Amino acid sequence: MRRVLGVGVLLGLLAAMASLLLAAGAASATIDGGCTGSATDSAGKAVPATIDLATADHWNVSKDSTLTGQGTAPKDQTAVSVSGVAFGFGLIPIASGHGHGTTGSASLDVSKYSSLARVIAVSGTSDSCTGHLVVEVTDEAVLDTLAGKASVALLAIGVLGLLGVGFRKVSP
Amino acid sequence: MKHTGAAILGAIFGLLAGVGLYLYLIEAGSFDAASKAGLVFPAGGIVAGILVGALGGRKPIRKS
Repeated sequence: MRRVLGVGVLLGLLAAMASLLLAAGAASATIDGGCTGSATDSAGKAVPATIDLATADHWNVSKDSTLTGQGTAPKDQTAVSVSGVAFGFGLIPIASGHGHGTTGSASLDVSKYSSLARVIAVSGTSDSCTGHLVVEVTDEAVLDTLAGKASVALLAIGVLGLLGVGFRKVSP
Repeated sequence: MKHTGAAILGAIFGLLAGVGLYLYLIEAGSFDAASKAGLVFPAGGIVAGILVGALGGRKPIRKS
């Protein structure tokens, strides 16, 4: 009886999780605070090759892509930071800087990072603007990246551990 | 009391499984890393692990 109850609760939780995931919806776009920007793949392998950062929230690129982005702010900005996003929060600091100006640019060689992760979500914050973008390296396999291998390893350890705990011998 | 230790162990393994599944779905492009709904995976893993630890286990068959 106790075990039947446990299975019922577990199935209920799984159903609740599934409905939450379906309700999560698509991320909204993407720069707030009056800033504008665009990004281009100089190798021409990204789809599309140029995006408007004010409206795009997802960009499919190639591991051979070289991305260049530029932004303009309505007033002087003194600080900027870029973070990797997980669980909806900017948890992993990538870059930060200080200065004065209303324009800025940066470039990124995708091949240097594509072995680490296939999908990278980044968020940026300056004095008055925030924005986010998900970059997906479409010609990289999930299990060829460090994050992909780590995810499978964590999943396997977790599932095997749960099986061990669930089927352990208990004294009567 | 022995179920408490198993529930804690289950929670740890459930957390690992939840984070692993979350990472895999992001890498596969099936889930948006910018969504806070991703917290469901580790939280669900912990809850499932606690349940498995507290309610699981098999008793040896007694010979009559």
